[in-house]
Amino acid sequence: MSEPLLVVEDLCVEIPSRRGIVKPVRGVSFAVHRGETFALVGESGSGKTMTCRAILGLIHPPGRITGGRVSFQGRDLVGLPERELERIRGSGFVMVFQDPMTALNPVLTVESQITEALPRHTSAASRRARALELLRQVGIPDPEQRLGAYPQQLSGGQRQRVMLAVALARQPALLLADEPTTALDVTIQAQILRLIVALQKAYGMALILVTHDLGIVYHVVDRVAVMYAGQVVELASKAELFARPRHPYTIGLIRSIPSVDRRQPLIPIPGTPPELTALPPGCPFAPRCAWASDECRTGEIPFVRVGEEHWSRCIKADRLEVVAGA
Amino acid sequence: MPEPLLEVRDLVKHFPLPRTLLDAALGRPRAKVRAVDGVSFELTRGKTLGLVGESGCGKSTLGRCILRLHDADQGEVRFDGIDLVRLGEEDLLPYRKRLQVVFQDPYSSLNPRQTVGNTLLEVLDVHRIGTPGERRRRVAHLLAQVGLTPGDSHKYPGEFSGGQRQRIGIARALAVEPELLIADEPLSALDVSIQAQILQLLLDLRASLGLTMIFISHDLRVVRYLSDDVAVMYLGKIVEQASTVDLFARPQHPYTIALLSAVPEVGEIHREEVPIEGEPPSAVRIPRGCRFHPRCPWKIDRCLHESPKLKEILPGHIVACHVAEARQAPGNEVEPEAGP
Repeated sequence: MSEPLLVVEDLCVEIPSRRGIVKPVRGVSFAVHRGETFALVGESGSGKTMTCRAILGLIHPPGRITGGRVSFQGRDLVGLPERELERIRGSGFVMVFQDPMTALNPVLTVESQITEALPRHTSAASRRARALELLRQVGIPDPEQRLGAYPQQLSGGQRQRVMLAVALARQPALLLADEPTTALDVTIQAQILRLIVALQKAYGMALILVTHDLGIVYHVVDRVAVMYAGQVVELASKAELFARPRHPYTIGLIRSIPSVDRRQPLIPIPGTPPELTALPPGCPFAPRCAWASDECRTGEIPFVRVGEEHWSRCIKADRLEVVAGA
Repeated sequence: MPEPLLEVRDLVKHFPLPRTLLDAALGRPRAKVRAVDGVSFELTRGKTLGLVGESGCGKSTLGRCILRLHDADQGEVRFDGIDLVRLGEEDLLPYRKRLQVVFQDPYSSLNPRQTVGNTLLEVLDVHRIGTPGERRRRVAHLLAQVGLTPGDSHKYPGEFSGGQRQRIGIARALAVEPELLIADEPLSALDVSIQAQILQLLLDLRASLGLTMIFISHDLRVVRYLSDDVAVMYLGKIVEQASTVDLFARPQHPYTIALLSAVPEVGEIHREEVPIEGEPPSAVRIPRGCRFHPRCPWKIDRCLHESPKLKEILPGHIVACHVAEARQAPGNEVEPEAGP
C-alpha cells in the first residue's frame, strides 16, 4: 500500500485547568489514505474534536501537544512554525465545523469569502466565475443572487453549503468535517451528507468525518475509529465494526441506537463517561462495562490487533464474541 | 370508546412580527409567523402521542399552547372535558398540576442555586402535597424512581451530568403526579449512550405510572420507541397521523416518507424513498395550495392551488395529500412517478 496521506501516531494533548491537567487526547494513532472516508466516532468529551484540532495545529495555549507525531504527505507537522503550518493548512487540508457561523466571516459577502480562498494569481473575473461554479456545485439556488449575501442572510443548511464552497476553493487533499450536520434538520442533514460524499468523490479528497452518530457512519465511511476518554478504543473497517464489534463500548453504542425498524430492544450503557481530570486506573470504560474484572482495572490496556485491519483496546476482545453479534 | 383525556380542536397560534416601515407605507397588516395553523387531535388516557417535525414546524408551540405557556389565538384545548384556553389564571391553577412538562435543556430550567432536594420540596410545597415529613419521603422516592440516590438531594444542578439533570427534570415533573406529561425534545441534548438510558427511563415510568404523554421530537427513531400514535407536522399543520406501527409500515404523505428515508439508520433498509430538495419555507409566507408543494416531488396541478384536507384514507390513518389520497382510492394502485 502506498504511503498514507495522514499519519497520526501516539498523539497526546494536555490542557491545564483549575481542576488539574485535562488530557483530552491520550495516545491516539491512525492513518488516513488518499481518497478514503474515515470516521472518528465518540460522544462529547471523547477527544474526537481535540484530535482534529491537534492535527490542524489549532490547540491554543495553555493547551499543547505533549507527545506524538502528525505527518501529512510525508511532512511532520508538530512543532512547525505557525507560518509554515498556515501554508500547509491553506492548500492541504481544511476543516468544516458544526456551526458554520463560527467559521464564516459575518462582515464579508459570500463572494469575498470564496474568492479569498482561491489562488491569488488569477484575474478577478475568473475568480468570480469560479466562485459561481463552486456555489453551483454545492447546490446553492440562484448563485448569482447569493454572491452578494452575508452569512446571516442564509439558512443553516445554506451556510453549511457556503462553507463547503469555501473549503473546496482550496482544492484540499483532506477535508475534516466536525459534526457537519448535527445542527441541521434531518432532511437537510441527508442533503448535506449526500453533497459531502459527492464532492469528496468529484475532488478525490480524503474525508475525516467526526460524528457521534453511528447511523451516519454506516452510510458514509470506509473505516472507523471509535474514541472513548481520549483514546481510540476500536479501529476497523465499517463492515467489520458493525458485524464483529470487538470492544464493549462499541457494542454498547450499537445497542443504544434506536432504530426506525425497531428490530431489537434498546440496551443502554449504564453510568456516565469518566471525568478527564479523574480517570480511573486501567481501562477507562471498566466502570460501565459488563465484562470488566479486576485485571481491567490495573495498568495500561494495550491496543491489540484482533483481526485483519481490526484493533481493539480491550484485554477481553477475543472473549466478547458470544454476546456480540449486535 | 373511552373519553379522551385531551382534545385539541382547530388550534391556532400566530406570532405577529414587528411592523416594518414598508408595511406601514403600503398600509399592509403586520406579517405573522403562523406557528400553529389549525391543529386538531385527541389523546386517550394512558396513551402516548409522538409529535414529529423539523424545526419551525410548530410542534413546540403546540405543546406550549396546550400547557397554556402560550395563549392560543383560536381553538380549544379540552382537558378532561374543560377548555383550558378559556380559563382564567386562578381556575387554571389545578391544571398546572395535572399537566407537566419536561424540556430539552434541563439545566436552564433548574435553579442553579438550589439543591435538587429543595427544588423538589418546593414543587410539593407550592401544590400543598402531603405533610412536611411525607414530602421528604416523597423526594427520596422520586429520586429513586428516576435512578438517582437519596444523597443526590443535597447536590446542586451544576454537580450533575446532562443525563442526570434530565433525570432531575423528570423527577420534578412527576413530583405532582401529573396526568399528562409533555416531553419537549427531552433527549436531544444528550449523548447516544445517555439518550438510551433516559428513553428507557421514560418507558419504565410510563408503564409503572400509567402516564399519558405527548412526546415532541424531531427524531423519528426515538418516537418509534415511545409512541402509540404519531402525528407528523409541517409548517403549522398535521399532515399525517396514524398508529405508530401503521405510520412506520405504511407512511402515506410524501413528507413523512422523506423524513423516514432521511434517517441515517444502521443497516440496509428497503423502503420507498422520497428525496426532497430545498428547505422548509418560512412560516411567515406559507405557500398557497398544499404547503408542502414547493418541495414535493409528487406534486400535481391541484396541489398548487388547493390545500388538501386531512382525510382517513386507510383505516385509522389520516393524511392531507391529494396524491396519497388518489393512490389509495379503490382500483387506483398506481405508483406516482418517483423523484424530480
